[in-house]
Amino acid sequence: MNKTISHYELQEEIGQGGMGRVCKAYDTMLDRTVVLKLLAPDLMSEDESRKRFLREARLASALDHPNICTIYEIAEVDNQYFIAMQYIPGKTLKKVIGTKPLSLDSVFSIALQVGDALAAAHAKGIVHRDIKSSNIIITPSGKAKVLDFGLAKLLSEKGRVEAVEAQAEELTRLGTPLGTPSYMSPELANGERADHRSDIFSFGVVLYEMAAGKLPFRGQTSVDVMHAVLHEAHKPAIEVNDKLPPDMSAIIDNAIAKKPADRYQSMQPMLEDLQRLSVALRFGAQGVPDGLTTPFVLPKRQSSRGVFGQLIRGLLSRAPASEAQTLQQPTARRDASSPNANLDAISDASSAGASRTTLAVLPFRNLSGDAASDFYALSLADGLTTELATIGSLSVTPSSTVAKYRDQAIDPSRVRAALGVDVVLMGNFLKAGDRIRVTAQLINTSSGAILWSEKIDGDATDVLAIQDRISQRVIAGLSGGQAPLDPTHLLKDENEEVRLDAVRTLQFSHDPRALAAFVEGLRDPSLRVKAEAVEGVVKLGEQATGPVIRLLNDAIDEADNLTARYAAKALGLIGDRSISSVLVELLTSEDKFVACEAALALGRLREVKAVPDLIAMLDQSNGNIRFAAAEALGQICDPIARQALERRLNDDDEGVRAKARWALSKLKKVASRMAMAK
Amino acid sequence: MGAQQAEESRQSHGDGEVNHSMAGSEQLYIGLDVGRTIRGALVRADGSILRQHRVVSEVSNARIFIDQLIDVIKALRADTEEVTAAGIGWAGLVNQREQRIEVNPNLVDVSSYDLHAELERATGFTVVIDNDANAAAYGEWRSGAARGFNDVFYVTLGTGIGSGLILGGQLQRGSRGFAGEFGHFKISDDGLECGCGGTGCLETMASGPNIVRRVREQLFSDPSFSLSKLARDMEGILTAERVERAAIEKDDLALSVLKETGRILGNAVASVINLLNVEVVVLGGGVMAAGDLILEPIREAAQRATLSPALECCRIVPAELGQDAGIIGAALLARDMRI
Repeated sequence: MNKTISHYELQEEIGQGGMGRVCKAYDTMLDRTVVLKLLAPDLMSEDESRKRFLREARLASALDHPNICTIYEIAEVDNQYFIAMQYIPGKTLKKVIGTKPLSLDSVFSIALQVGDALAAAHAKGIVHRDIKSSNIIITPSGKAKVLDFGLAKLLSEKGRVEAVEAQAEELTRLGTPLGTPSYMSPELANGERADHRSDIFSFGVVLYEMAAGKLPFRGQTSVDVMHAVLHEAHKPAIEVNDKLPPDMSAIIDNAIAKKPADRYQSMQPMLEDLQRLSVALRFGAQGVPDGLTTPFVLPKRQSSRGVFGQLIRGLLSRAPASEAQTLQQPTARRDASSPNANLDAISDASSAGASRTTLAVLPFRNLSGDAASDFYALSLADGLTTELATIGSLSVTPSSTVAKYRDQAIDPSRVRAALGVDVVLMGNFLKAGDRIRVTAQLINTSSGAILWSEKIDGDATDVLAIQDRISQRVIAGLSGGQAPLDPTHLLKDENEEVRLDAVRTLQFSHDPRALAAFVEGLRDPSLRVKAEAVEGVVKLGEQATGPVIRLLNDAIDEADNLTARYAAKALGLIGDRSISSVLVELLTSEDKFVACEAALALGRLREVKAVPDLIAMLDQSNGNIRFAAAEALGQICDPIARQALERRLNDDDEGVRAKARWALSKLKKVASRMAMAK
Repeated sequence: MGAQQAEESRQSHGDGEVNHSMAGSEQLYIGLDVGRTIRGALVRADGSILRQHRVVSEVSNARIFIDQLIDVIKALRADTEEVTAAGIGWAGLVNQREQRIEVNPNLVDVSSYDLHAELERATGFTVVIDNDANAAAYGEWRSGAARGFNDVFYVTLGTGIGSGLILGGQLQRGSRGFAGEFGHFKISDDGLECGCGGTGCLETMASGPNIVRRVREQLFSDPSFSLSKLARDMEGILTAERVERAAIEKDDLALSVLKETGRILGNAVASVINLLNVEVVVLGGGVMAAGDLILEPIREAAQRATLSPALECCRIVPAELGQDAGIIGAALLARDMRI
């Protein structure tokens, strides 16, 4: 197969069915393997159903969730519609289950991942309509990925029975909406309108299948199965697998109730019940102590598993309550002689030291730019959360609550506002080949102080070992047993993403080394790092003025135009009125961008003394200069500039014309306000 | 015409054959599109253009400007006896009932003149004045992309943003002729001041000059764009046309601004579709020279924001007559209103 569609080289056909052909392909533009679904022409022949399908599929393609197979593109070339989606190596859940129940750990792990994916999709109004075990891929690392969001309706509308037999089971496959009615909700089987509760039913069937090793509704033919779905009571899962906790069986029973109104009404409560049960079982309980509807509280009895669990418990029990001041100046005042300095700081973050310290482990940021490594983001955080949750003195926010922070630049103070936690553990990872580098930081959400930071290298093929190692280092870091890494060192890392992340993290810290780091960042060869350094400098405000002016002078001397420009920009955004005369001088800078930034800054400062120079700039030949001067004069609103601006209404440059018109309208408004005042 | 440059050309639009000779005894009409340039054409009854004439508007003096209009009409008429009416598409608010220019934001103020009477007196035949976007909408409806539809929303994206509306097979002007000021759709409360005196008008974001303004602002707000090819041109003269060309050449800065422009326009177009349930939205004007680079973001945003039933029976298409829509439409308006 050597065909090319758009920028995809088709490699091998891996399935064929009612929706069309499925091929493994190579994206030559983005240099990655993808799966292409080539839609059968008759599916797309009707204008209305095609439009509706495309709208729905595009909506689904906007879903960005670690447990949902990403749709990259839906396009058409020469009347061939195709869907490009993420290539996921792994096995279908159907294959993984086979005919035997899965272990409880696996059931919960997969259920929580798939449930989270469904909850996220439902929150955006997207219903899957074809949840079944063969539409869920389990990767070698245990990650579950739900396939074909938004695609099922096309087939169901066409009345198509999918009969895909993928040649390679491990690859993304076509959906089979009507081919296997075992997962179909009663309302769908009746041809009635189906909402998100139909997905809850199908998800319940999948849970049953995982827990019991069998399907709840069975029959010799499709008609028999549909009859069972519609009219027959299922045998409770616990009667098929007596090792199943009764509460698990109850959750399943609730999900696969015949009437939608009798089921969970949304994914969230079902997910919460699963989470509670999962945590309760980890602590050896036979179920959730006060029933499924009772809010979960960490049991008093603590887990004995895990070396770090014991370590943290021991450390927390030794933490004195009198060192609250450590939080205020974590670097300067940390008592190096105290082995528990960092830990004390955390412990004391809670008001009187008597209540538990609250902590959230945020998803780690993937700096590799490699989607295949994305799963580390949540799995690292999830593993650490699980371990730290066993410590009685710590109250740890569940992973599902912090998942929303994935791939975000995080301001710990916002996390504090949202989750009410005293400290966050956050970081990033960078995977290269078989190696992984994880940078973790423990940050006080109240002061923004970095309590501890460390870079850890490990073997990427052994996730558990990495997790273990990080946990131990974190614990050692909490106890003050590890020398904290100077966060500014990360700015010397050869990887741009690491430097970028370091600057972003420093923006939210109150680390006294941040200013020097930002000034260093302004010199960084990466424009992205420079831009983040500008943000950092601006956050620090007037204390940064002096160092930035020195940097600007050096950059001008060295003819380092880009650094000079970013420094000028930073200077302009700081808003320090005391340097307006410096800015006026910069208006005549040889570097036109520096002059523009100075003009814009003077405009922001409403600096009237700059008006004559700005008016002179309006007549310069450089379009950027005229534009910046018009912008500044519009901000300052000095009527003396009116005539000069009016001349610019006929500027050959359309942008300058628009800016001059805007500036004049501002002048006019000010004039009319003054006239009214008189 | 004074010192202004004049230019003549011959070309054809519509269904008619190109015919450089005078056309026997057929009825002919003059169409003028009046903006920063006065563009005029001698147009056959079927909408095809027989002859064109163009001068740069004299925007500093109303008297000279009016004389320019008369000169253009006379130059087009030349020795042709078959001309019976002239239509003018004017870039401003036109009081349709009284045939008077009411608001004229981008041109010289002619409100102290009875323009209509003066033009009829000077030329000797019927003159019809309408808003330039109405004229262009009429041209696209009668002879361009909206042929055969009854409910049409035409948008022209250029120095300003205008629109024309055909509902139930009738050009809609509102009670006095001021309808269709799409450019002054308010899209935000705290937006930029507009030439109309308001703030946050669509025109302040998506007109040609404002696209260029936003390109320059983008360059200043995100200096990483200083490495783009377009940024190197920005020290000189920048126009919307240059931005569009840069986008076609895949320049990041130009693409980024055009995409955002498309999103803004698409949202506004969606409001109109939701309000009026038109069959077709025709997008014309110089900004549309960027083709799919602006059209697709408009369609995408409109699709997201339009109610499904209204969207399913509505097409969003580019104009077909290009810059000639206004002059053809003005001539055909003169033809039909005269009848």
